[in-house]
Amino acid sequence: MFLKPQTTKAAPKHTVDPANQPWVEKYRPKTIDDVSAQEHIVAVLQKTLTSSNLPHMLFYGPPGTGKTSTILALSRQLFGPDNFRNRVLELNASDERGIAIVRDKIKNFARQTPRAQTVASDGKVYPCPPYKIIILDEADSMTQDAQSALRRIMETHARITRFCLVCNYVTRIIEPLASRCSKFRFKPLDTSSTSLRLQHISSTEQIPVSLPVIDTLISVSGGDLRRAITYLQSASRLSSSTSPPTEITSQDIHEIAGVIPNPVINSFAKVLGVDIIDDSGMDVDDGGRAKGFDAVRGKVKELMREGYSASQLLSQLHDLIVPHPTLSARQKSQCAMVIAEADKALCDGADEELWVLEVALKVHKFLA
Amino acid sequence: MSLWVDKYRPRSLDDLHYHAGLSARLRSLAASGDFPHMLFYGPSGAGKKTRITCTLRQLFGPGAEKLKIDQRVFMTPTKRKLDVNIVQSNFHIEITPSDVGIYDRVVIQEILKEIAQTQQVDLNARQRFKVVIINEADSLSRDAQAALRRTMEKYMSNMRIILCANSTSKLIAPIKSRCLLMRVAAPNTAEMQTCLQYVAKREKFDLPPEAAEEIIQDANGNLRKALLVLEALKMQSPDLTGPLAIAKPDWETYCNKVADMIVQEQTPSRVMEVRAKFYELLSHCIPPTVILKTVAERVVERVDESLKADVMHWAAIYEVRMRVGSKKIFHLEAWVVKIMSLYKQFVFGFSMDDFEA
Amino acid sequence: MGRLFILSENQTVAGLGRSTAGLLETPVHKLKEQLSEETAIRLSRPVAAQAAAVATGTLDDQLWVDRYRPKRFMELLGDERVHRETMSWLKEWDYCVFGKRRGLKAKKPSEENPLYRDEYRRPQEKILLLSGPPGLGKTTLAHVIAHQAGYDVLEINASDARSGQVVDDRIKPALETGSAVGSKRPVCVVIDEIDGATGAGDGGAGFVFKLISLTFDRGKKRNRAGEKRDSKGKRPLLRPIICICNDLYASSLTKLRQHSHIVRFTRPADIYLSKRLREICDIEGLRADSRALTALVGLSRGDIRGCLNVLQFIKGKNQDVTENVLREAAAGMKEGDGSFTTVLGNLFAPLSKKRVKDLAMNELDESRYVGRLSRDLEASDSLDKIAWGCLEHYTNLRQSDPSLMRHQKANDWLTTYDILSGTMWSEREFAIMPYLTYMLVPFYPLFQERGGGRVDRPKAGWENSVKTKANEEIYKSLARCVRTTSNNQSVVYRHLMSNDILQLEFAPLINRIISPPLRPVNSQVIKPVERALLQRLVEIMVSLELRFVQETAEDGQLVYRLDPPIDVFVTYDGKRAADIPVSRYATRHLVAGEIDALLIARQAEAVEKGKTKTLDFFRGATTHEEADEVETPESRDIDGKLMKSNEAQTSQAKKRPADKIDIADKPPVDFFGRPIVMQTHTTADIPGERPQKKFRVSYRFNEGNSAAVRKPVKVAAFL
Repeated sequence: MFLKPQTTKAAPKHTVDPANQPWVEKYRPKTIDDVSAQEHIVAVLQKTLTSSNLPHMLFYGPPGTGKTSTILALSRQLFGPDNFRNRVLELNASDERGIAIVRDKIKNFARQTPRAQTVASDGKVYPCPPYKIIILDEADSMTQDAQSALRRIMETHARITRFCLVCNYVTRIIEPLASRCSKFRFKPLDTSSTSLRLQHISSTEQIPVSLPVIDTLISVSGGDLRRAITYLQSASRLSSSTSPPTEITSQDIHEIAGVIPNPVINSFAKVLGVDIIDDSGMDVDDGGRAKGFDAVRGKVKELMREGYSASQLLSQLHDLIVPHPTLSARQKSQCAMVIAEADKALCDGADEELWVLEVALKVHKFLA
Repeated sequence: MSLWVDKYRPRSLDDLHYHAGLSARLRSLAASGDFPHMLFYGPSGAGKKTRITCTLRQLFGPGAEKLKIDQRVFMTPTKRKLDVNIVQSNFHIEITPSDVGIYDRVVIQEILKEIAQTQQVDLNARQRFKVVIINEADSLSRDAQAALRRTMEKYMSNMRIILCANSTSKLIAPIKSRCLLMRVAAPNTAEMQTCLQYVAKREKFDLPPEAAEEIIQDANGNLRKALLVLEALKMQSPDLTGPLAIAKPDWETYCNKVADMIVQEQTPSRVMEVRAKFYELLSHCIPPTVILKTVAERVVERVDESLKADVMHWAAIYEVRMRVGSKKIFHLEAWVVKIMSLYKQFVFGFSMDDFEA
Repeated sequence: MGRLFILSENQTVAGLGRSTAGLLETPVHKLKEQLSEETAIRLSRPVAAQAAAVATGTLDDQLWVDRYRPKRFMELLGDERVHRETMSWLKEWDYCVFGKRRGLKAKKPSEENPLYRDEYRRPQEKILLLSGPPGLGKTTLAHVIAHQAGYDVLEINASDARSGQVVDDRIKPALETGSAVGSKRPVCVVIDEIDGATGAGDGGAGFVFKLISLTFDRGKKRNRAGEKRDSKGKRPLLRPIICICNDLYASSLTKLRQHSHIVRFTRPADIYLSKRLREICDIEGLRADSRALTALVGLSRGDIRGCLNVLQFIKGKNQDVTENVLREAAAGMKEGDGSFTTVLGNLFAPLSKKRVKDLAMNELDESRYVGRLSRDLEASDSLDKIAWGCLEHYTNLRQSDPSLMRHQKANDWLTTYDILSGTMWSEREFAIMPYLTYMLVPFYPLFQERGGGRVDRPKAGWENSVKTKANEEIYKSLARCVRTTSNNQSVVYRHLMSNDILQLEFAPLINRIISPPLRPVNSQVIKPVERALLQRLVEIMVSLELRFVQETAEDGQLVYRLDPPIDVFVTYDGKRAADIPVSRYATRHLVAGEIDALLIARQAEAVEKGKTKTLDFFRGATTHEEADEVETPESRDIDGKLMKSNEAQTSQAKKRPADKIDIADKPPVDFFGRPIVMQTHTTADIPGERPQKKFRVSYRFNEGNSAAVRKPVKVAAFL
C-alpha cells in the first residue's frame, strides 16, 4: 500500500497540468488510511477490505470532511486502477440526475454483472469483490421522485451492486433509502489533524507558511478541509504572482475568504452600542454608540457601499456578540434571535440592505 | 462617439482610476499563468464589469474585445426550445442566467461542457484556457449553482469561470470556496470626484467641484449613474452654471410622492389612491423591492424618530414576504396600511393593545 | 310528447304583431291555427296521454329534462325579448343563406343600418354569443330557433377538442359545404360551452382566434376580391355561428366579445317557471303543492334543468312533492354555485332575507358563516380572482375605522393567502389547497355590511399586467437596439443592459440626455453652441439606434414619435417629468433630418471604404485588423437594407425626411407636411441630386465570425 507505483496508464481525456491542478484533487487521500481524523469510519471500512463484504452506505456530514475522498479511496483500493472504470459509477449534482437517469443509466449499470478480472496491470493484487459500486455524490440534491425510484433498484440488484450515497444533510434523504443503508457520520475535522494536513501540503508544495497563518486558515474554514486547502492554494497563487514572491499573511487569507476585517466589524458593533475591548487597547475611530436612527442607517449604508456580503457581516457580528464579556445573557439571546431571523430572510432572497438595517436597529434597541 | 459612460470606460487595468491594489493583484494574477476561478462582488456601479473586461484584456490581449453575438438554441429536459443570445469572443464567453429564467442549469451545463471539451486551437494564444463569465451570478438558481460546483473542479484544465455578483449571500458556500473572491467596493467621494473631473477635462468643459459634489451625493457610490447624470446635466444646461437641479430618475420622484401621500392622510380611500400609484410604478417595470425601499426611506425622513425603526422593520418583513409570494401589490399595500395604522396610533396616542382588548 | 307551456293566444298575437312580422317562416295566422289545433288535441285527451305515459312506462327511462325540452319557438320559456332578438339575428342571414326568395323581408335590418354594407347581406356581427347562468335553456334556445328558421344544427360541445385544428377539420368544411351530410337544409354551427374546458392548453385562445379569423378576416378579403370566388378555396363565411357560454368575461373570450352579437340570458320570472313545473307535475301524475314548487324554483335560482331533475328524483321515490321532501331532495343542489362574482358578493354582504328563507335556515345556521363561505369559495374555482376582488373592494368599506385595524387584519390575511398560494404553485404542493379558502373567509366578519355596494369585477390587476407586458416589450426592444449596435460598432453598451440597471438608471437618464433644449431652427442658421449640441445628440441617438419616426396622429397632424418609445419611462400618470422639456415637432424634425443625414453619410463612407478594402484584399495585403474595421459600417449597411425590406412602413418614414435634407437650404417647413412631401419628391427625383448608388458587392473575410452575409456572386462583379 505504501509503495504506490506511478500509474502511467491513467491518462484521461483531460490532462491537467500538475501545476494547475487543484490541490484538493492533488492531495486527495489515495488510501483510506490517509483519510484525516475519521478513525472510526476508517476502522470499519478497513474490515470490508479484508472481508469483501460491503453494505449499502450513506455518508453524511458537513462539507469538506472527507466523505467523497473516503469512498473514492476505498473503491480504488478494492478494484485497482484497471477495474475502477467499469466497476464504479460516480454521479454528482452536475450530472443530470432526474428520474429518467435513475431509470436508465443507474438501472442499466446496476444490472450488469461484473466480469472477474483480478490481475491488475500494475502487478498488484486487489480484492476485487464481485460487485460494483455506484456513488451518488451530493445525494441530497436529488429529487424525491428520483430517490424513490432508487428504492427498488437498490433491493433488486443488491447481489451485484452496492450504493454509496454521499450527502450533507441526512434529513434530505427519504427515509426508505436511509434505512437501507448503514450510516456513517463524518464529524468536523479537529484542529490538529487539519493543521497537520495543511503543513504537509505546504511543505510538499514548498511554500513557506507560518503557524499563525495556518491557524487563521483553520478558523476561517471552520473544519472544512477542502476550503482550507483551496484558500491556501489561492493565497499561494497570489503571493507567488507578485514579482518578488511575498510571504502569505493572515490578512491575505482573510481577504481571500471574503472575511470582513475586524476593525470594520468592530466599528459597526460600536455604533450599535457594543463595547469593544480591543487587544491593541486603542481604536481607530472614537465614534462610540450612535445617537439615533440616522446614525445607524448611515453606518449601514456605508457598509453596503463597501460591498461586504450581508450574511458574512451578520455571522461575524454574531460571533462578536455571543462571547461578549459584558452583555447580559438576555441581550445576547435577543440579538441572536434577530440575527437568526435575518439569516432566514436572506436565504429567502430578501434585500440585504433592509435586513442589515433591521438587525442593526434591533440590536441597537436591545442594547440601549 | 458614444455616451460618456462607455467612452471613458477604462479598457485596460492601467487605466483604472481607483482600487489600485486590486488592479495590481489582477495584473499579477493574469501574468502568473496560474489563473484561478474568480468571483467579483460589490455594489452596483462600482466597476466590477469594467474590471473583468480589463482583466480579460490583460489575459488575452485586444482580441478579447472582438465580440460577436450568437443566437443558440438549447433543449430543456421537457423538450422546450430556448433561444439564448450569447456574447463571445475567441477567448471567452459571457452568459446572463436571468435571460433563461428557470432553465439556467441546462444552459450553463451545456455551455460549460462545450467549452471544456474544445481545446484552444490557436497556438499563438496567450492562455490555454477559455474564460466563462457569468453575469448576475446571484440570480443563479440553486440547481445551477450545484451543477457548477463539480464542473469547476473537473474542467480546470481548459476553462476558468469568472462570476460577477452584487452580493455573495445568495451563492452557495462550495462555489465561494472554489473561487478567489474579489471585492470591488464603491468608489469613495474623492475617487468619484477624480473620475468626473477626468471626464470633464477630456470633454473640454469646466466642471465646478460643487456641481460634481452634488452629483456624487446623489449617485451614492454608483459611478455609472454619476456619469449618466453628468451627461444629462450637460445636455440640458450646456454651461453648467447657476443652480443645478440634479435629475432624479422619475420613478424615484414618483415614489417620494407616494411616501408624502402616506404621511399626509391615513384613510381607506387614501390607501386606494396609493394602490393606483403602486400599479403605475409596477407597470413601469420598477422592481417591487426598489419601490418598497425607496418609499420607506422617504417615509422615514418624514416621521417621528420613535417610529422610524418600526417603519423599517415592517418594510423588511414585507419585503421578504413579497419574495415568497407572487402578487407583489398585496404586500406593498399591506405595508402601507400597517404604516398608516402605526402613524395614526402614534398621532392619536393610543396603542394597538387597547384596541385588541 | 309534451308541448306544454303555451302562452295564451292573446299574448301570442300581440307579441308577434309587434315586431316580428317578417321573422317567422310560417306566417302568423298559420301558427295561430296550429296552436289552436294543438290546444284542441291536448284538451281532448290530456288524461289519456298521461295515462299512457305512466302506464306503459316506456318513457320513464328518459330524463325529464329531455322529455320536456321545448321543440318550438313558441314553447320557449323565459324572456321573450331575448328569444326574439336571437331569432331576428338569425333571420338576418336569410338573404345570404336562402337566397332572394325569403330575403325580401330580411332586407329591412340592413336598411336600418346604412353604414354597414355586406355584399352577402350578412348581419354585421357574424357570431352570436349567448351568455347566462346554467340551466336557463341557452342550448335549447339555440337548437329551437335554428330548427325553426330552417337550419340543421352542427353542435360542437365540451366533449370535443377545442383546438384550432377542430375549426379547420370540422367547422370549416361544414360551413363551406353549407349543409350537413345527407341533408338539404343549410347548417348552423352551435358551439356550446365555449368558455369551458379548452384542451389546447392556451386557454382556448387558439380556438377562438381561428374562429374569429374564419369570420372576420375572410369576409374582408372577399370584399376586395369581388364577387368571384378565388380558386384557393378561400371562401367567405356564409352560415351562422352561435356560441354559448356561462361566463361572458372568461379570459379566452376577450377577443370573441368584440366580434360577436352578444345576447344575455336572465333568469325567467319565478311565476312562469313554477307554472311550467306545475304542468309537468300534472302530466307525470306527481302531486305537488304550489308552495313547494315555488320554493323549488327559489332554491334553484331559476335553473329549470335542476328543478326537473329534482322532480324526477322525487317521482322515482314515489313521494308527493311537499316542501320537506323537496328540501331533502334538493340538498346540495346549487350549493355554492355560481360565478366568482356571486361568491365575492357573498363575502361582503350577509345573506339576503329571501335567500335565508329559500334555504330554510334558522338564526344559528345563518350566523355560521365559515363553513358556508369556504364551501362557496371552494366551488367557485377561481380563488385568485376573488382575492383580487377582495383587495380592490375592501378599501371601499369601513371608511370610518379610525385605526385601520380591520384593514390591517384584512391585509394580513391577503398576504398570507398570497404566500400560501405562491408556495403551492411554485413547489407544486397542492396539499395546501384546502387551507387557501379559509384565508379569504375572514373578510366576512371584518367587512360584511348590508347594502355595502356592489362588488365590482377586479380588473386593475389584469390591466396592470397588460401594461407591464407592453412596457417590458419596450425595454426589450431598447436592449435589442443596444445589443445590435454594440455588435456592429466599437461601442459597448452591453454592460448597461442588465435589467435593473436598464430600468432604474439607464431608461430615465437616457431620456434626459436625448432631450436638450434645442430651438427649432434651420440647421443652416444655427448657433455654433447649439450646433455642437445637436451634433452630439444625433451621434448618441444613432449609436443607440433611437429614431424619430414620422406618423400621422389621430387628428391628422404629423407627429414625430420616438422609436422605440422609451419616453414612456418618464411618463407617469400620463404626465411627463417636469424637468424634461417637451420637444416640439420642429425640433424633432430637425433632429430626425440630421440623423438620416449622418446615416447616409456613413453608408456612403462604408461603400467607399468597402471598395478600397476589397481591392486591397485581392491584392492580398489586408490584415485581419483592417478587415475588421470594414465590418463596422458595412454591416450597418446590410442592416439597413434588411430593415427596409421587412418594415416597409418605417423605411418610408425614414426615406421621406431623408429627402428633405437635400432641400435643406429652403426656408423652414411648416407643421403640415403634405404639400412639402410632394415637393421634395419632385425636387429629389428630377435633378437627381442624390447620386444613384450602384450596388456593389464586397467580400470580406472575418476570422471566426459566421455573421457575414453570403450570396453567390459572379467573378465579374469583382473586377
